[in-house]
Order: sequence, then structure tokens, then C-alpha cells
Amino acid sequence: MSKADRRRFWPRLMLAAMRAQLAYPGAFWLTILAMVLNDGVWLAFWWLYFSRFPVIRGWRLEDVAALWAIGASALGLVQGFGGNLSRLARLITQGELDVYLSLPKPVLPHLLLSRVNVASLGDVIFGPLVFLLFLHPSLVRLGLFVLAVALAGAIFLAFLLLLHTMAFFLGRADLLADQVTISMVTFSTYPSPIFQGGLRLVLFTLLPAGFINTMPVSILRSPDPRFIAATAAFALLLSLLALLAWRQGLKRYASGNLFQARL
Amino acid sequence: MLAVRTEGLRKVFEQGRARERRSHVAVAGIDLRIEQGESVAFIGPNGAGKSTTIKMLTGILHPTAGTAEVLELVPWQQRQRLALQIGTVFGQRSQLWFHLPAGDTLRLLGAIYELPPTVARARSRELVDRFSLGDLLSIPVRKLSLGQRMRFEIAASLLHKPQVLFLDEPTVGLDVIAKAEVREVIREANRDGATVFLTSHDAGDIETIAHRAVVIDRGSLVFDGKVSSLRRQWLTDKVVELRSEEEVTPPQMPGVVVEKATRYGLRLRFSAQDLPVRQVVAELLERYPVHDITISDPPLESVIAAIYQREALKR
Repeated sequence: MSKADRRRFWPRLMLAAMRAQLAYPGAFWLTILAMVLNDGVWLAFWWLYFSRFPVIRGWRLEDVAALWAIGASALGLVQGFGGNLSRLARLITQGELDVYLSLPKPVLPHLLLSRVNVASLGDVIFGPLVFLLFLHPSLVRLGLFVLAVALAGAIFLAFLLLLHTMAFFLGRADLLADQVTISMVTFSTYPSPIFQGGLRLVLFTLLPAGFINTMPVSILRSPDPRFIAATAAFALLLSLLALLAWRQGLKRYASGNLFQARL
Repeated sequence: MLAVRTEGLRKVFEQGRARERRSHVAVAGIDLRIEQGESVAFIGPNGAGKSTTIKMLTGILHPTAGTAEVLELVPWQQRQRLALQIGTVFGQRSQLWFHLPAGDTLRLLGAIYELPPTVARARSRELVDRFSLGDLLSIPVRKLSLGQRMRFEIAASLLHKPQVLFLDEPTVGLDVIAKAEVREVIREANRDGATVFLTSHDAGDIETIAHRAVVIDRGSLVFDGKVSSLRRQWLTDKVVELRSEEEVTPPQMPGVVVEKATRYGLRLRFSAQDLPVRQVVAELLERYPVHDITISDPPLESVIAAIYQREALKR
């Protein structure tokens, strides 16, 4: 089998994961619609807010819309097509990596891409829709938007992977991962200037939502090469750290004896 | 080339909180050599360390100490290379996609095992025919019975013609016919040259599939030999079944236990070490107008139960 044939396996795997969810088409489309509406309601709240207070520390409604467009697209792509990411800590604790470890493919991509998280596909639709409808798309702005989504996606992926990998070391990390994920998503959806002092330091280190909620201004509105470089460097560092933790963690994997199926 | 070789293979799990951490020795350092083409039953009571050993040999778990090689590859270091050459079936763990037709999983596994599409299709057809699965190919796995699902699991594990088959309880929950089919296919794979490494609590699996038995208890090997000698070494008991031409009254013979008595029949059990077989038979022939008599070893279930009990008493 050629290298090209081997590479074609990954799209086939993603297609299988999508078809597994489409086994229930009604639930599939309703879940997506519900997520789009959910995101839309949040944006509507912001619209109501900005209709009374048009500017928060230099941010306007358009910046918040950009924040939601970038955040939803990035998190949607990562959690939607890497559908096992949000359950990874649970899978580790319950010993459900065995199937992936017994097959001749790299465990991490095989595991992540084996499941589609349908709700997150709503984010994948919502984000680009907001960009196209409200953020004056042009070729240059589209390029900047894609760059922002890629960087935000890399940070989300590496951070969540690192978080869930703690299950190898702590024995159980699913509740911790759920809580910290909520914090990360929450801080990623508010304008960056409202966070000051020590909290700002936390948001650019331990809980790196600061990189994401700065993107609408520093990438989309007035691109700042230094910010882009710093964000890329941080994403790379975090990814290396997450992969190192994953590799070390696999050595501590304890498996388990639960009855299980590939859902 | 050896199919499996282990030296001092050991796995210790840490349990409990940091301050009260306890160590649980799952596998206590086992040495094992299995030639290519052998069929080995790896048996022991629950918690003996069977599954942990299989998981180390397939690269799922890293050992705490010791070495292992499967087809001259170190499983936890060369996991992907090894996985291309071995097949695994974990009775309680499915590699089939629950919501997709099983045929889709077979196609995907063809790509996972890097088989050229034409080879994968031909091999898949061959296995589907062998297991009579043709009518079930397009049914989602969630709608299959356990027996049908297990047949697909075994077919999936054989798709790439593995050199070593690791089977952890492959017939768990199956009915008699499905068990027989699964056993026959495993034997066939063994006849074709695949080494079979099987764990099972089902004596039928062990007797039909394996030639060699390795018994493990509390992480250590307690027996390694032929399945046939397992009986002789662990149970010297004999079972005599007798059919009389006249009504029988159960005998009072020292050392002989009456297991079952009917109007014209008896089933007796005694230790051949304590009582010579000819003495018992001579006495029975003298007492009863015997129409038919058979002497047999106890069923393998009794042997396995005896091993487990004896090991439990040592604790």
C-alpha cells in the first residue's frame, strides 16, 4: 500500500465517524440546529447590550461577533471532528483505549477522529456564518479569519489534550477536565480588555483564553505580527507539552475491563 | 522464530491515594516460550493475570519489569509494526462500529491493516462466506445478536491473516452452535499456521482449540504442559458409569463416591492413586450383572475447578 493510500485512511475514518452519527438523521440535524440557535442567542444578548453601551474599552459589537465567529469555528472544528477529545479523560480512566492500541495506527489521531461530536458541528456552521454575514468578508479578511481559527484551534486542541491527559497521572480527571473546559470556553468568549491584573497573566499562561479573546482586535481588526508570532509560538509549545504528556501517560495506561463498544 | 517469548514479565498496578498507595501485583514475573504454530490455552481464575499478560503482549500495557517479544518485536515499543502481524479479540470489547453495518468496519479495517483494496475485498468475502455472514453485512452492529457480533469480531481479527492470534474469552456469551463455529474457525487459522494464544474459562474452548495449556494464578505460572496431561497431573480421579441388567442398590465401597444413582445405573468416582482401577472394576463386576461399563477421566471443567481450588487453599 502506497503512502498516498495510507493517508487516504484518515478521511475515510472521518467519513465513517460522520456516517455513524447520521444513523439517526433526525437527531443529527436537530442537535446541529439547537447549537446554532444556542450560539445565536448569546450573540443576540451581546447585540442588546451594545445597543445600550456601544463600546466596552474599545470593543464594539463587531469585535464580539468576530470573537464568537473565531471561537465557535475553532472549538467546533476541534471538538466536532475530534469528537473523542471531550471524553478523553473518561476513556483513559475506564480503560477504553485498548481497541485503538491494538490496531496499527497512531493512537491519538485514530482515537480523536473516530467520533464526531454532532453538537459541535453547530459551532462549525455558526462561526463561518457570522463571519460571512456580519464581518465584511474580503479575501484578505478571509485569510486573517482562517489564520485566527487555525491558531485558536491549535490552542484549544493542545490545551484540552493536556488537560484530559492528566487522567493518566491523576487516575481520574474527567470532572476536572469538564470544569476547566467550561472556564476556558467562558473566558474565550468575553472581550479581552475587561480582564486586568493577575487574571490577565493567568489568561496568557495557565488558562490560555487570553490568546483567543485578543484575536478579533490583534488579528482581524488590525493585524499585529508580534501577537501572531507569539500566539503561534505558544500554540507550538503547548502542543509539544501535550504530546509529551500523552506519550508519558500512555506508559502509565492501566486499561480496564468494562464491556464496551465503538459508538 | 519464536512467536512469543517472555522473561520475568511483571506488571504491578498502583492503587489508592498517594499516602495510602498499595501495589497490586497482577503478573509476578512470568517466563514463557511459544513456538510458531502452537495453540496455547492460557488459563486461570478471575484476577489471575491472564488479560494483563495478553495486554502486555499486544502492546496495550507497558510492563513494570521484564522483557517480552512477540514475533521478535517488543510489543510496547514496536506496537504499530506488531499490530500489522497479530490479530486480537477481546470478548468484552468490540472493534466494530456500533451504529454502522459490520461490512463498513471490515472495509475500514482493510485500510487500517494496509491491505490493497482488491486483497481486502477478496479476504473479506472469504471470511464472510466462511462465517455465513453474507445476509448480515448491511445490518448495523447494534442490531446483531451477540453470536453474530462475535462472528464478525473474529472475522475482523483474521482479515489480515495474522501470524499470532490473541483471543481473550472469544466465546463468552455464545450459544452452542456459535461456539462450535468460532472454535472451528480458530482451529482452521491455527492449521493455516497462525499461533493461537487463548484465554477462556470454557473447557470446551480449551479442549477443542488448544494443544498446550499454561495455567496462571496470582500472576505466576503453576502449570505448563499438554492439555491431555493437565487432566492426569491435576486429577487422578476416575469416573465409572455402569448400567446393570437388574435394579441396583448403591455400593458401600471405601474410597468410592456415588455421584449419581438411578434404578439401573450408577455413576461412581474414586481416586486411581488410592484404589487401583482393576480392583474397583472387579468388585463392581462381581456385585452387579453389568450390561455396560465405561471408565473415563473427569471433564476438564472439574480439572480446572480443582486447580483453582487447590491454588486458593494455598493462599
